[in-house]
Amino acid sequence: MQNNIELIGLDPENFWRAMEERRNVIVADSAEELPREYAMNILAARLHPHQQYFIISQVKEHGPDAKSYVLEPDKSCGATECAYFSAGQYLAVYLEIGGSRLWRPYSICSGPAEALQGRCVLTVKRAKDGFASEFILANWQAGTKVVTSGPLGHFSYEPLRDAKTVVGLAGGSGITPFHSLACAIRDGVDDFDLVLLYGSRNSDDILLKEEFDAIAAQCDRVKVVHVLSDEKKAGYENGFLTAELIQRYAPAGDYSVFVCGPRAMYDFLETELPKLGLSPRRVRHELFGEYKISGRESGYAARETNAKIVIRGEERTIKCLPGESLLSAMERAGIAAPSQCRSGECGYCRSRLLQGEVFVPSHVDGRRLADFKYGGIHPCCSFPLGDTAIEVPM
Amino acid sequence: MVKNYDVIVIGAGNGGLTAAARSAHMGMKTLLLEKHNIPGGCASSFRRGRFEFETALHELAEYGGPEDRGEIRRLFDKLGLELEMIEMKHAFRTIVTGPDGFDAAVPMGMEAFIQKMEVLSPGSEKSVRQCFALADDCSNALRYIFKNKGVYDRDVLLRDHSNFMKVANTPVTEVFEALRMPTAARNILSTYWSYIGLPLTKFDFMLYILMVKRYIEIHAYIPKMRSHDITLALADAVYRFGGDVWYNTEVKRILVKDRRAYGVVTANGEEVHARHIISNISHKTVFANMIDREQIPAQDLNLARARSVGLSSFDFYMGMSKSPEELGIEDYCIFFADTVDTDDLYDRFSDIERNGRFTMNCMNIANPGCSPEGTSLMWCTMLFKGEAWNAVKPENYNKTKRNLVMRVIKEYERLTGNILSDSIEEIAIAAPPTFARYIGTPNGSIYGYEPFLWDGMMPRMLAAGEENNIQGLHFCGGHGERLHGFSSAYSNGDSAARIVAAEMKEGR
Ligand SMILES: Cc1cc2nc3c(=O)[nH]c(=O)nc-3n(C[C@H](O)[C@H](O)[C@H](O)COP(=O)(O)OP(=O)(O)OC[C@H]3O[C@@H](n4cnc5c(N)ncnc54)[C@H](O)[C@@H]3O)c2cc1C
Ligand code: FES
Repeated sequence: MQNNIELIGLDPENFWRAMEERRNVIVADSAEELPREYAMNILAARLHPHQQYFIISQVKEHGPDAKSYVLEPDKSCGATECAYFSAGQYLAVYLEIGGSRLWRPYSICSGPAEALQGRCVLTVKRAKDGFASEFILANWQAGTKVVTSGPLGHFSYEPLRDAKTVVGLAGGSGITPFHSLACAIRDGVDDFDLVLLYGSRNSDDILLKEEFDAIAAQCDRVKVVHVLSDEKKAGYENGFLTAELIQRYAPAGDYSVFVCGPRAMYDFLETELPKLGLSPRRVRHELFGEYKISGRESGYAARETNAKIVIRGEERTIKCLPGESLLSAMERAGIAAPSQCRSGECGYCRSRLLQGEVFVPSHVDGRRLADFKYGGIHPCCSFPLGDTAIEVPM
Repeated sequence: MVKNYDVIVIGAGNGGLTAAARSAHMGMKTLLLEKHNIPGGCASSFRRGRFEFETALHELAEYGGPEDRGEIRRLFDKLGLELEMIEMKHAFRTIVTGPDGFDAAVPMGMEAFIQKMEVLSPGSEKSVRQCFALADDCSNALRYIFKNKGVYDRDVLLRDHSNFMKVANTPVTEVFEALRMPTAARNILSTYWSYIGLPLTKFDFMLYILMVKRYIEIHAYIPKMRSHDITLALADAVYRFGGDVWYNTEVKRILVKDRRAYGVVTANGEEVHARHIISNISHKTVFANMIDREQIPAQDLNLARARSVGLSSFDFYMGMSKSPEELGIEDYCIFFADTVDTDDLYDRFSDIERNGRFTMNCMNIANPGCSPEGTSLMWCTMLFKGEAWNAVKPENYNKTKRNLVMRVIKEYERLTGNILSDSIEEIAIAAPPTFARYIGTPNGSIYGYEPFLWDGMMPRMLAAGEENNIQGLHFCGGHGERLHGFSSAYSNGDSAARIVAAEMKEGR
């Protein structure tokens, strides 16, 4: 029995009206086409293209160990624009080197305003024992076609979060995202003051010196201080990026610190930065980059192992060398496994550990809580402790 | 050689995951295909710095306790999912400004809820009770109708279920009026309208009251490790029951011949066959881009065309460098609005600058320990018509997002006195293009189709038999019969799998 409720003015026949309306809709044939795409999906694809097809239009040399490559949309592949990005973001670049197929992240060196002109610049510096950087410096030239990801990463200025002044700490090729940020300030895209402390060995090693000089000349919101570790020279600071040096150049009030550089610099700053007494929200690091086993890790003993790789039910066993990540082992075996940041952070390489155990250095462990329950691992930062089997999503 | 399955499920959102897990569970050879590298669609999590954010789930309806299990808990138990779920103690707090504005907090549990409503709106008890009594009448009527697979006698309906007939396809506001509910009670009870995404004058009372009751009576829950945990548990169930899952695999086409679906083609050109295809992708996208036009029955096409794409969302997620106590936060969730008029609010969902409604969550209140000591996880949601963002270009996208965040934070600080702006350690901002990117729905919709009266739950359910005229092609997810939202999408996935199982049994 239903409840006794007085429903003033409501008619049970109401019920059929909606049903009739639906029937009318279904028979009301119209010539109107269903939309094939929608504005938000188009905008999403422009902001976050899955892949971008470029062609190198110009190469600029910076001494013997670095080059800048100007990338423009490859019209022959139908590309028409260079995705807009936030200064400080990177592109993952696709490479085929020998039998290896791999992706490498490179910060975009140019500013966002240039992207609107259909151009972006990657600056590549020779890395010690570098595999990809050697290949790029030796092979890329005007006319080379380059496939990349869309813009990625979070090393950007966010006024809702960051202080009005940023003290940038850069080392080596870690200067490139700061160049992009400096361009963004100059062009009025980003609104903050940048004090950049840039560490190099010698004055000859300084990357993008003229470029920064030019920006600083045009725009008083960007200030660059060169810090040389192996050379004493007038007009330059000498030594390392110490807390004392940072304090000397930082503004009196609130400021944020952005760090991008080689591992040795991160290690050094680990003891220096706490001396500044900044809140955790005032210190930001760019990606750590590929983790290299140092041999000092507790819980990891380098040895050669076998890894069974399962892709769509097909299995294949590969060798994983001592100190090698599962991702690198796959790439060496010619498997174009997905990756973007190679630093454990983005999760794009996420695979499923079916058997065995892996070592993951704690500060590059970007797994989500539930991943631990179901064997979700990031192969870019996973080092097998014995024979393993993983399922790779490709 | 072309691979062959009993069932192929396209899309690993809540609907697709459930459909695949249940299909495999019932013994069908199942393949789940997902465009992204991880499953979940809306239901996921992401990390920034020291924080792991929930992407979408505010509260899961119909879960219930171990003693009085709701439909979703029973479904998950059937699949053997092991989840750590946290019971929600409070239903909601709402702060509305403007004429008839109020600040009201109500508890979970039917009696407690009704008593609190009486305190907040004296004289409301009778009509609020009647609302829930009507929900029972509706449930009984639905049971009668679906006892016989949607075959019912009009005279029996009219004789035994006239209350149901009066309210099932009638706007919420008209039923409130018919019950002479006091204005204050109406306004408070309306709070959940944003989960439906239409003003109260535009969708039916039954849908609304059944949803409110599900939240209040069968307490809502949240997963401790974000909805990524439920997602992975469902994906794990697919594996456990022998199904396959392929990620980074976009389906480009559904193969249909003589009005019968028989397989799919993926982006890299691979063809896979199955007798049944369950699509977690909406009819609008499937018919526009994935099936040859001449294979689509005119009526199905007309329906898809007439349906209205549901709302999209604007969300910002903040990792705070202060604890909830330091920030002064006591509520898990507060709903804010600048008027009680839902038509007006809905109209302004089309205007970035004038949108007047948002919810602010602090996960730590419900899930202590979800972020490191001395920090907290905050999350704000605003609904939008995707089109509201049409004028935004890539180069002013970030600025547009930021300005909106600043406006909302200022408003939140003004209304609560809690200051957020000086302790934001991490922030991520998602707008309609973000949802379009991650789930691929039209204009980044997160709410299936808008349930106007003709496309409400009742019409969708009763007409299901005559619609979907391509044999072997089934739909599930937020655009399904039970509509959008987590629990509905799970249910829709479950029913799609059950329909397929039944058809397979009959040899269809
Ligand atoms: C911010 C936010 C807050 C929300 N809050 C709540 C809440 O608190 N409570 C609640 O109940 N609901 C909430 N919702 C709504 C709820 O999440 C959705 O209604 C529900 O998840 C929809 O499920 P779905 O099955 O339609 O899948 P979707 O999430 O739409 O997923 C579809 C999947 O299909 C994949 N796909 C798309 N195209 C293809 C293709 N061609 N080939 C292969 N794969 C493809 C996509 O990648 C995606 O994984 C919220 C949503 C959001 C985003
Ligand atoms: S490539 Fe980003 S986490 Fe592995």
